[in-house]
Amino acid sequence: VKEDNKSRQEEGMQSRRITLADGRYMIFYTFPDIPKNDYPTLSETGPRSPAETAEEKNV
Amino acid sequence: MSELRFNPLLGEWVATATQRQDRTFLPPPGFCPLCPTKPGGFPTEVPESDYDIVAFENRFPSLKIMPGEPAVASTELYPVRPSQGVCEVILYSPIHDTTLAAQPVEQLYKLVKVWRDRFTELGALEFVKYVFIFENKGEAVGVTLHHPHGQIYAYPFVPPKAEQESEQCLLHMQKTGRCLLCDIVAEEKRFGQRMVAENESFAAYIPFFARYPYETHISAKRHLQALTDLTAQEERDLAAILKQVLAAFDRLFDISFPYIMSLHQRPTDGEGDYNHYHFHIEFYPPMRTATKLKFLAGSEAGAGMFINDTLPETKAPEFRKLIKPVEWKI
Repeated sequence: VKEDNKSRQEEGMQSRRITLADGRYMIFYTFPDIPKNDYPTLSETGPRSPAETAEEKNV
Repeated sequence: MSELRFNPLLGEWVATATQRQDRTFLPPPGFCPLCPTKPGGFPTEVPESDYDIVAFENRFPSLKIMPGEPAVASTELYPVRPSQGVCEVILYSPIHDTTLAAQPVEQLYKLVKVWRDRFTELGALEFVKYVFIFENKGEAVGVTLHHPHGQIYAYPFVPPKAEQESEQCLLHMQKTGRCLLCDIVAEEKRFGQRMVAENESFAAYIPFFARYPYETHISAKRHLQALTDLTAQEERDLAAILKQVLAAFDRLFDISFPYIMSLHQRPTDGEGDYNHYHFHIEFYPPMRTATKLKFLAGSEAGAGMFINDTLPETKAPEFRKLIKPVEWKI
């Protein structure tokens, strides 16, 4: 018999599951009690990725 | 075509997943399959945008809930089994041009709760023996889609690294009566020089045995085995120290810092309580300087012995200076 994972009631977290056209599931999580963030973007917070620094790859 | 093939030389399973050769590779701007579908736009994988975090089955999985039969027959020398498991994608944000490090701490707090939920649900599946939560960040570690996301692999066996860690923890407990990770955290705190950050519940440090220059571990201070053991305060503290470490990574070289993040939790195979194990998170950043990458070359890939060109005792103080306080809005 498989051990059950310890679970705890998640206050404030809501989830909604849908099935995509190809049969895969998708779960949307929302937190109504926590304000949505203004989602800072990289342009507001910092530089983009190092673009691989491919030409500078040195072992 | 997908199956698990056993490597008798190492005693490990290898997944074949030929369909992954066709997965989307660095699409041009405006054609990200992980962005929400826009009215009149091309249909992406995500039909809605009103969410905080999304979890869904990977379109190009290496493990499937209902796998097909293996394409090759199993033999005594080469055992083969169906590639049963689950591969999920976790979207951190509906916004494309952002990263986990750029999110406010509240978003990381939400992510910790989602991680916990996914660990609970996937770990309860009969065929799942280990739930591995991770993120590949940046093209330097092989990312093919830039939309901020992590992944979860729910394996039908305990993978080699988790098994090795668990065995070492068990040996240490049998030998000393103590938890190995608890001893490591105590030693790093006592020595101090390799510490990066800490709060009431977690410690971040570049360990004595680091294999990468900025390899950073975040360990729970309390002896616990999985996200499901965290108290509400510990969830907040985990979000806070994650925010501090991730933001400091980006400050190291003033770039969006590439890394592999891996959560190490107890197996879910029902083979005991794994009280000897200890929850922690490991980061493997490939950069050894602002312009040079650490590769897994001959010794690392061929022999399994890592060579670190730096000392944790000098890298940790450099990294520690970049840690800033976290500002909560809730």
